[in-house]
Amino acid sequence: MKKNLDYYGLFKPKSNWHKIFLTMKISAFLLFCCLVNVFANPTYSQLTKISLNIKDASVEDVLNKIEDESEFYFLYNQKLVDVYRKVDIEADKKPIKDILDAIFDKKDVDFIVYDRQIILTPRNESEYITVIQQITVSGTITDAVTREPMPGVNILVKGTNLGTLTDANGKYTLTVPNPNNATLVLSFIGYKVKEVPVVGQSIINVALESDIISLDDVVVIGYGSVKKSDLTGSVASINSKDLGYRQVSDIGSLIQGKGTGIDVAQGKIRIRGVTSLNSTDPLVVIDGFIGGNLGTVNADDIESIEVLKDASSTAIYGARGANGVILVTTKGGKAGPLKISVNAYAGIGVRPKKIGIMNASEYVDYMHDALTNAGQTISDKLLSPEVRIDVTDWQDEVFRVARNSEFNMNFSGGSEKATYFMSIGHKFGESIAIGPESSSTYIRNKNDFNISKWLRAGNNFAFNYNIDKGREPWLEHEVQMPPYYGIYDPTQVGGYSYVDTDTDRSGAYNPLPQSTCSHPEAYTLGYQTNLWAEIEPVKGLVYRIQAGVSGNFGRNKLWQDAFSGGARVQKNGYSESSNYSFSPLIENTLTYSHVFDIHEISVMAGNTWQNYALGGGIGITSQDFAKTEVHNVFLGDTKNITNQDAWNYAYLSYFGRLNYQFNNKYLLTVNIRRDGSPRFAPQNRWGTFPSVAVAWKMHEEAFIKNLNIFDQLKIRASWGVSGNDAIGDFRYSSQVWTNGVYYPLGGIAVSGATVNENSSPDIKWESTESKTFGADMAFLENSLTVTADYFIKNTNDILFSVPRPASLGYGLNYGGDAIVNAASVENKGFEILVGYKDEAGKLTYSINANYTNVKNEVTGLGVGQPYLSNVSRTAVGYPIGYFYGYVADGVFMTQSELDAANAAAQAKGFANYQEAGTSAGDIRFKDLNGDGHITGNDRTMIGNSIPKHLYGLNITLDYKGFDFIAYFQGIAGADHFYGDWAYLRGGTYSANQEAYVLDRWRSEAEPGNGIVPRAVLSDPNLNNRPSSIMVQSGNYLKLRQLSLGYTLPESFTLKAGIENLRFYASANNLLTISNYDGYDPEVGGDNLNRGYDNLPYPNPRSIILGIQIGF
Amino acid sequence: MKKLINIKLLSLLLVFFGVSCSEDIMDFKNPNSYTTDTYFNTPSEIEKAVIGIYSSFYFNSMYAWKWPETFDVLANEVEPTPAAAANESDIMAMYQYQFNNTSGIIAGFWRLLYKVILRSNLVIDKASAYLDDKGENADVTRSLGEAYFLRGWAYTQLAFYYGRVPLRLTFDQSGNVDAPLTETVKEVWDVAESDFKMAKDLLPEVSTYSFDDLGRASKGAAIGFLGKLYLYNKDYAKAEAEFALLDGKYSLVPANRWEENFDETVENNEESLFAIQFQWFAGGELNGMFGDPEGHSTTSTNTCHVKLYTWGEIGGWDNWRFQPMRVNDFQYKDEANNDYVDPRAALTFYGGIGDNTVLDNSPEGPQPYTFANTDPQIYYYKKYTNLENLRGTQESGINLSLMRYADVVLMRAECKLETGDIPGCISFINQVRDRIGAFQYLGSYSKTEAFDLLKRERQIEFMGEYVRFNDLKRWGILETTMNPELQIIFGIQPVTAESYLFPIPQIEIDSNPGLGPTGN
Repeated sequence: MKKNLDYYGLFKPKSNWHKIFLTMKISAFLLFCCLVNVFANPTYSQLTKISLNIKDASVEDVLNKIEDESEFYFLYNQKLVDVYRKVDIEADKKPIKDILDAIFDKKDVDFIVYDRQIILTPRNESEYITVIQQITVSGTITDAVTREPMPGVNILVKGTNLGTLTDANGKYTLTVPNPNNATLVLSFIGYKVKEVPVVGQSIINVALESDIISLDDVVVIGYGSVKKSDLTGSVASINSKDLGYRQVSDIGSLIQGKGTGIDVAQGKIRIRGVTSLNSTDPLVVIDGFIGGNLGTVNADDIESIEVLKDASSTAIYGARGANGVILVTTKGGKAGPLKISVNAYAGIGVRPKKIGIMNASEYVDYMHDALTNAGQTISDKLLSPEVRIDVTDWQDEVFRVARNSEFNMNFSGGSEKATYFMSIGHKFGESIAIGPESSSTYIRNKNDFNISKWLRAGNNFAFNYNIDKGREPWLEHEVQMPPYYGIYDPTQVGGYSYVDTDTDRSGAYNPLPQSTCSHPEAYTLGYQTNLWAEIEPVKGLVYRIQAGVSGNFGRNKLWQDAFSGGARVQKNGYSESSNYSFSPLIENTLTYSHVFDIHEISVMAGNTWQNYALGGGIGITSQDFAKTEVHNVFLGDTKNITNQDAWNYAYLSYFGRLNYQFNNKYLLTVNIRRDGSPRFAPQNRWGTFPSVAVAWKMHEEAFIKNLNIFDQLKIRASWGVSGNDAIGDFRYSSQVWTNGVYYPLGGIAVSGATVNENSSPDIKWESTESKTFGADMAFLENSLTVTADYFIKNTNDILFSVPRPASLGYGLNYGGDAIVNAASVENKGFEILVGYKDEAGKLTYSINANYTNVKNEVTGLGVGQPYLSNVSRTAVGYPIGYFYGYVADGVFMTQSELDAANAAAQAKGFANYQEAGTSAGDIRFKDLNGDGHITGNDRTMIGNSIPKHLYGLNITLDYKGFDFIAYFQGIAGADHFYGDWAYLRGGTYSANQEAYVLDRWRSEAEPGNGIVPRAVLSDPNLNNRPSSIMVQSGNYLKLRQLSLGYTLPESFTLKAGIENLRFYASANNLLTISNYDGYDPEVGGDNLNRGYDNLPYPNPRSIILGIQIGF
Repeated sequence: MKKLINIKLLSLLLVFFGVSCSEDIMDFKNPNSYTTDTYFNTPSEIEKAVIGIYSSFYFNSMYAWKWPETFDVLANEVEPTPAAAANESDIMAMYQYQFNNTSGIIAGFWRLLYKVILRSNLVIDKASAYLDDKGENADVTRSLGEAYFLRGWAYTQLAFYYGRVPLRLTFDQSGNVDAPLTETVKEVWDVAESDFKMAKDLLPEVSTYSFDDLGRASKGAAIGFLGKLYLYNKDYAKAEAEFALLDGKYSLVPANRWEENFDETVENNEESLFAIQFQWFAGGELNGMFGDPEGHSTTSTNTCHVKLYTWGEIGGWDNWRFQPMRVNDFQYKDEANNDYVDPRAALTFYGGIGDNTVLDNSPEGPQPYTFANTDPQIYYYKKYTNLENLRGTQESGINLSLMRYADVVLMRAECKLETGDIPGCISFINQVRDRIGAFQYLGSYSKTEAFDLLKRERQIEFMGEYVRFNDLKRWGILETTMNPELQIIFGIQPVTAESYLFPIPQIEIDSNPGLGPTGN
């Protein structure tokens, strides 16, 4: 509490004389404020109940105790208030007022409670009064973001004890001595302290900025911000402290498991279920810049991330809000002296586990089986003993220990008139696979200027420069390569061993030259620059214009060394491409806010204008270089232009919002946005997206207050519609295809033109109607908070290129289908976030648990017929894109079992039960329709890739400078489809397989485990058809992060001029609990191949050591 | 004063707000592509669309790779190397007649035949509209004829290999996306017949083509394919009438120019009615092997057939050899009942009774075919491999013939046979034999005997030209011929009545509700 006292400088006496004068004034003002602040609701002080049982303790100890156990803190002057007096206090759940009455009963101390702040003053004011040179300054203090007046703000003349508080309308009047040199210091809980020079002005209006770590967070929403307690929508708010210091490659990893309703898999983010078949990527807004370039954001610069989930919050982004919105707010400067912050770490990452692959001898046995069963001969080499000797563990050759490091530094500070924030960051990271490495450099500059009372402006410039090098080997080849092979063979071009298709009978490739002989390099300069200005011509009316450009310049190079491997001879070659993008955006908003009586109203209207957004690229290539040291396309033998493409884009939107609050109890938010998208034909171009939300702060009602249970109880309901146009450009119009269309006539390649893609002239907006019912609750002096939401999202007219008949003739091989408004889907679910924070002595801890349940069901189909994309089917009554295939019912264990099945089929007039080539040991598929024969009609739902349950748990502990974070995340109710089953487990491929195949059927005497079929090349039974054998549970629980930090005591570091010095260690993915037998149960993929595991590189297990220094 | 500035500034910004509300900003054209509304409206653009139809032949699943291989294995005219047998499971399934509706090969043919149809329909619609609108134009008329010819060819393949299929007769299929199967296969044949007739009327004679137009469909090609269509439908009189129209327009090249039909020296000769044009261009990719040519940066109009059918030492990938079982086809008794080796043996394959030197016409001069020393049972194709001329087999642009005049002559023999004119039949067979220097059949034969001679003649003449499977299939002797051969090779007799037609691919059944759940 002394800290508070010193900080505010309140009551700090210069002389006794002065002191008495001041206390009188302050007390008078404070009393006045208390009177007028009746409806400014000192909620906390009224709702908080304190229990104390202290005997023979000093007043100071009692006050300390109260501070420890509550959020109250005391301001007083030790010389005026006797705090050494001994008292006995016994209180059981008493309001603070009662306790203070008891402590100071009939004593000469008065107290004033404002929310959590309690000011103690001597009761008897002095009568000393002196006249000095002074003026009266008055003004209004408002919230910098909401523009609402702020009652109860402390205002103090710097270096003196003169001060006051603002009234219910945020107004104050203060007599300031020596006005030309005086400075006002303004402070308020949850807001940044602000100093304003008086310089003779008699009216000083100040806007205070919220401090993000405050108790009642200000939550950024679209085109504005609100206090969390005034929120009507569903917003997951994650601040920089929650984000922690982790190695992250993308924003998805940063927010995974941190809030409810957020589903992240391999960096892909989905908010509240899968609403669409095309892109379900949420809209990203960086510092108010729609569709900002996330590549320019250094994770270290992030102040907070808000995830807007329901229509009420997203509808203001209308067209692009259907998949949720992620608002990223970067750090900014604060008025004050220069602050320097440094954060650096270094660490390593490794593969999370090794998978079982057959050894040489097991592989050779497998090849014997597979060849023999296919009626083929075993080569002499495969009969020799030397191929049974293990030579290379290909898995070890492909993976490595990856190094990672990061260095970040930022400078910030400023004055009342201008603040600055500059940051520079550098990251280096290697892949856990040999080959790829990347480095990124980030620079950000952010300045805010208070040019005059009615004009504010600022800039926010961010640049990033990335260098990505190297290519990883294909993981499939790591499994498939025969273990008896060495890595190198000097007789081959490039020096790598190769598998001979003849003697080895195998088509496997040495995985290494794919990486070591291929040298891609990508250099990207990304930028996002933004200027803004705000004009307030009339009080409460703010016009804001924001103009920015984002985009990038890229240069990609690929040098390919010559090598031979297997049947392939790769010539050396070089290709290079350049690309750029340029995306300007201008937004105007006009906001009017007014408070009259018990009504608070805020109206906003605006538009978004994006024009001349364009980009493109060009590529060149050449092969057969005589020498390899200079990489220039003109030095190669065959030169070609490989591509030239361009895009342009424009976007126009109008939007408006009404916020109304009645009596601080009832909240109403109405949004509307109208968007035009050039992705639709002119007649279908415009979409209108409204939303309404209401909230009731029930804790403000007497009947709830009297329950003495809730510190907060707010119920919310919202309804709204948002849109999605995430399809390619120009899909509504036909396109003439000319690329590579030739026919040689007369020895000349005559170029041609045709069509390759079915146009979609009638497509219209996809829209999502969303309903949310939610409640925010706080108990136990706000230490327990609960946020619960129930939501229903109905997406209609889902835009998707439904696989149309192959007989339409479109597509190169696949695709080319017209986009149609294909389906309707419903996502229903609930989400709950429970947080508990408390202190036990010096230990501060918090536990946050979140859980989301989503049920996804297709409710209608635009083409009236289920459709199948690869193994993912979309049909009414099922989850979108569920896995569709045959049901594997073990293997035919004996020839007689197979004969019986065939005989039964023949009795029904079929040639056989399954295939002509089916043999004992092949998979038996279930005849689901009972017609006696296996056909496409025997396929059914064999799995669902959309997790039903998402959960996360964050635990933080702080103890005497130590901080600890444990963060768990998991999913349940999801299936994976092992897309590589055919190549790595099917037993039909002439290459090494996973150890799974060891359990195969070999003969009636050695039937294996009854699940894994026999090995046979050419797959006569089609064991590789999509079936339930390829599906397994994708449930997992991961310990995503475990970190421990230690901050040296300030008393120690300050001597070295360091404000803050923290060391930390953090580990990612330390533990995974899952039955999944692949590398990583976290399988990504787009909506239609989600959970389709084609062996992506797993998330590494990593550990970092870091240091943070603040000056 | 300050207030005034505020108002001025505000009004300025509000003006800007107004400006930034113009909806015209969204009216812009695709910067990468023309649209079909504005393109394909001039003779040269329509001609480009015709090139687009022809280029469909190059796809992975078509002639650049899968088509020749597939019909060679179905006819047992090749033998896989052990490596190919171990690694090429999709084609091995075709070899063993274990194909079903999930076969990627069968689905690939389907897709590509319909791609030809789509692209033909584009030309037919655009060219017809042009002629209606602008009047007569020789170039557009020829383009229209080519489109009808190619569509007719595609529907012929569909009718023959798949039977009843969905019909797509216009470019705009928006009202007919879920087209059902035709009631009868005849409906499909009828479309093909009508198309060939249109082509026959619209196309010019090949003799009028300049060198730069050789390779295009011509009137003769339309007549030949129309006749073949009648023959396949057993309408022998109509077939013969069409074939007769070709008298004097095409001829069999002499024996010393036989290889012209299968290498790159002289292409589109007087024996060629229609051939797929391949051409090697520097920097080109091997077609089909690792991706489709369309979308490739380089001009890719070459075939990987040579690569697949030649051995490693000579530069090949060594997937397919000449089927040893077929060697016997070239050994038969002459009229005096003496053992006879057909002269086409040495023209068709290397090894044994075939040719035993390679690179005869190359600068390095004749080199011995060495496999005979190590394993006399290893034969390789000479036909279509260009190995007499060149070692580096990658750079191959050998045309693949879809109909040469020898076929017309032997089809006429079949018409004669089926209409009871056995001497006429033998006479046509002898024309083909005479050209190559094989002895003449001089006896009198029963219909069965004559049919056997015709069957042998077609087998020897068209070995490796994807003809035998078609013949066995249309003659109804697929099981009786293939099962004994497959019994020897694989120990199985997989050919049944079901093997005559490829199934409608599952991808079509899954995506075309018009077919019903079982594709019937």
